[in-house]
Amino acid sequence: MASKPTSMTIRAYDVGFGDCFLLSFDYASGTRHVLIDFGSTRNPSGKEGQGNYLERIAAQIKADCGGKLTAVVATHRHKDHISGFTNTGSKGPGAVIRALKPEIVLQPWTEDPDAARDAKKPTKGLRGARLRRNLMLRNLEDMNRFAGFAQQAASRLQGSHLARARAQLDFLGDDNDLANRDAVVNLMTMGKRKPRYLFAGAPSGLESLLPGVKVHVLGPPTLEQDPRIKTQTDQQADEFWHLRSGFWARRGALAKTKGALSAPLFPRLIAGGSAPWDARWFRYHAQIEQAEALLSIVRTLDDAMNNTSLVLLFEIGDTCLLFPGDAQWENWRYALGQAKYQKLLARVNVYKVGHHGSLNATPKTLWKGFANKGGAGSAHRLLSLLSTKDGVHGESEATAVPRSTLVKALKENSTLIDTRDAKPSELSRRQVITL
Amino acid sequence: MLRKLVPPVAVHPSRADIPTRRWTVLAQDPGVLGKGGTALTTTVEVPAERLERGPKGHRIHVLDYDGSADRFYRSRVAQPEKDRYTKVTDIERLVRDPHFHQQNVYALAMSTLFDFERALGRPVDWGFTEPSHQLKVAPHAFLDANAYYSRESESLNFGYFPDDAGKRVYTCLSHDIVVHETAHALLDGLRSMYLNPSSPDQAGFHEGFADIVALLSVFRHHEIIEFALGSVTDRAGRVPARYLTVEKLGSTALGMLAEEMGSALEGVRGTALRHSITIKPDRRHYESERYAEEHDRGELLVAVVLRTFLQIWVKRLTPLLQHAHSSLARNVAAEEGGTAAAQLLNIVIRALDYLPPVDMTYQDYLSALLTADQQLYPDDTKYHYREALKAEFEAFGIKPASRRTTDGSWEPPSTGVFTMAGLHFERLQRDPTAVFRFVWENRDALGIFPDAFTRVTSVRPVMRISRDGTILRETVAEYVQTLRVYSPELKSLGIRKPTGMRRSRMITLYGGGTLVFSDYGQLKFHVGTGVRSRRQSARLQSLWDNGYFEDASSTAARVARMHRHRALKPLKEPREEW
Repeated sequence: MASKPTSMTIRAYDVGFGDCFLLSFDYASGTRHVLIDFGSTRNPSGKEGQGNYLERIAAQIKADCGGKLTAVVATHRHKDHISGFTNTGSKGPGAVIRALKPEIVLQPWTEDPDAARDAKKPTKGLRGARLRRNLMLRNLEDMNRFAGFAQQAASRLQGSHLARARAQLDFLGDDNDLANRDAVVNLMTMGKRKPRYLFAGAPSGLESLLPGVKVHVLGPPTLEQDPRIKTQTDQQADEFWHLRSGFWARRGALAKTKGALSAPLFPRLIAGGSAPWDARWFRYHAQIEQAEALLSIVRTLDDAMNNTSLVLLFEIGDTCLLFPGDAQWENWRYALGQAKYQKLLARVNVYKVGHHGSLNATPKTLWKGFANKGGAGSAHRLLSLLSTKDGVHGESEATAVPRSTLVKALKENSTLIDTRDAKPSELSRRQVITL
Repeated sequence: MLRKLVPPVAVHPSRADIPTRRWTVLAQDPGVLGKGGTALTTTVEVPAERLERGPKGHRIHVLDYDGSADRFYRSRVAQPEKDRYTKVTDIERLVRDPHFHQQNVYALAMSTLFDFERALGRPVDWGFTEPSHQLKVAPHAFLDANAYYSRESESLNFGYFPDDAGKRVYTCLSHDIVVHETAHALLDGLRSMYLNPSSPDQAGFHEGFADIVALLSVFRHHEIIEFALGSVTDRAGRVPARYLTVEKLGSTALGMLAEEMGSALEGVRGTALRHSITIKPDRRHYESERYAEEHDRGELLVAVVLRTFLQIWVKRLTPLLQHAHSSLARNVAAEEGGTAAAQLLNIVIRALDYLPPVDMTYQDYLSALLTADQQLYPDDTKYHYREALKAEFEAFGIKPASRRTTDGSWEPPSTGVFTMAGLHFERLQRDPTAVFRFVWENRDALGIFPDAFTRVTSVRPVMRISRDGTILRETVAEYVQTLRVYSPELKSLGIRKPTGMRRSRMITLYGGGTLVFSDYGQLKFHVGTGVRSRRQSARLQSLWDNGYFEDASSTAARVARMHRHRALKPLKEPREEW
């Protein structure tokens, strides 16, 4: 039995706006493959019309891994990370992945079905850590529901003054909607071994499957690991989560109410004809404001979902590969505050750029700490992987994904592998690494 | 043809010679009911103005536009001036009737404006970008559990949503929510810079102040106080003396209201009353980390003012109890509570005129409260309101900003240092350019940094009448200063650059002052903070720590977010963005 891989190949599949990576570790006894995420919300430019594009990618994954996966990692439940696992009636790209018989599936602790079932029970009488975990998991459910509602609401926004908000609401609503249910169930059941639901510091479950590879789990932190908890009394923390949960429960309930959007409040008093003269200016401005208000709630839940991302660091001898999903500051701050992780992070050779290159998923502290970044030609230069698509996410130059200033820094200080550079005939970009 | 273009003259059911009328509104919300489950209503005083469908008056325009459905709901056309709900006791009828919703928001918003104008002794303008007189109010603005004020759309917007049982909840039917949003609009009209990111105090003030005005507005209606005293009233309709203490009234009367008010509104925002009454006085609070976050800080201010309200109420009851000994009739106790709330409401509003236009602190507010009351009621010996205010603020660790006077009120500037060269009092009372001349000539005496851009933002002549008939005439003017510098330049101004801030960052420093002139044109007070003040270092650091150094979003977005964040309490720190 080989004790250590000698080389590896990383494939970044061109899924448009989404993530899909295959890590193939070459052992003397054969190659072992780990699939990290498989999802998309927008096919890549120039490949939009190519049938069920994700099925083509699935077939390619099957070919690339020789029909067998060692592990599947689903960093978080956003559609752009898991839609490829969809398995409707044993069809779809998820059926292909399922047939690759992964030994194990890794997900963040927030996806643990046992915890979720627990969260569905009444919280009366519960206190402390268990109560808070339950409330947080309920929040995630309510957020998914509300995302669906926001998408419906977006479809009702008419007029060019609302076009931008409508596009963003539609995009974020879709990404957060519960329509990913099939994928979630598929992920839960496709592994041969019991699935693992991980948190910062937990053993990954890959120890025996990938000899010679240490897999460190850097996030997401549990609620107890949240530094905020340390400054709160138990009662304050409970109250904090009760308030939050009340907020999302309200929105969840709204989304569950049938006809909430379509049934008129006062059918007998609906004014016919066009808007009154003295109300037109207000209507125009109120519509923009309300769309913005809705969008801002949806952004909050989108961030919360991103922050449930599993952050994995693969250490193989001197080589360190970092796959942080879409983790943002709230997730990152735990690992960045721990000395042992700081040391590991400084050694990173391969960085999967967080959240498709958005402005807030590559904390400056993390970036500054990478010891291997440097200009072209520098020894052991950092390799970065960016999977993204232009013009989908973000409303302005400052919030556009990917963020131009980040891409510039990546190009200057690392060897950037960007899925946007994939040729029309190319389904993935590859990099071989000698270990 | 011409006749058709001219709208028919509205019939005035009210008499033109009586300047105000009273309109029926809900005393709190549909969850707070009177005897036998009947609607608990009260009346508020509004100007007897000409009204059109809406109701639409000269300052408030109720526009029933539902943005979520993109629909307009019709309002009453016939006799819009008439209050048709004086005798309605069926709560369901009121909840079902959108015309009542329209009346409720009109009357509450209008009466709140009226309260501000009376307390300040002058008309109060809205804070819209373009000068405009009518605040739009949408009682069924959108499907969501929120309500907000918007400077951009010149409006108050009230949401509706299903409760846990699927029954619709209308935020426009909550007395405190309507007054809260109106108070945001009025405060924005008076202090437009207060919605800008600044110190934690200022961040907490908008929300805290709006809560205080809302709660005191509700409490001044004796119907509500009688309701609140229900659990401690005996069969003879009397409240035993042992319940009439600050602690007992806090836990019973306010405690009961906290339970009832807004129980259906969980998730709209944190319920101000419920949290605030649990904050017990402690001199460490103001400086403590526990109340450093802006929403907690807002609730801290509410807690202080509520305690003051209870103190004043008890002070008013004390002489009555000396005669009545062991108990008081509930209506008498309630009447005094209502009066205490109404008087305190006046003071908290009037104090706005004695606050700096930018970067306020709670310490400034205490000095402003003490000054406002002292100017109008020099004699405080009967109920000792100022003593109560000072003692309660100090009990939570908030000392007056003015340290030189023993009573904590603002100190008048020394006479004789100001020149009135080139000035005419008549113009100084209404003309910003004349006030700017005053500022220009006296910049050294005022301690103004000469290189900052300075402009006079308002000049308002004021006439206030006290309960004892004293007339106080003043002119209140405000100037604002701005100075834009790069972060490395801060040092030369004596300001500390927050650690981690990049060198290329441009920073806007704000300063400004409120000038109060006497009726002889003499400067009575200068309440201000300079662009170089010692507070700037702390302010910059706090903004940096909270992660929102710049905020380009609209006021509508800020107010809506302020409400949401009361429930969500997001993490605020620098996010290391690109």
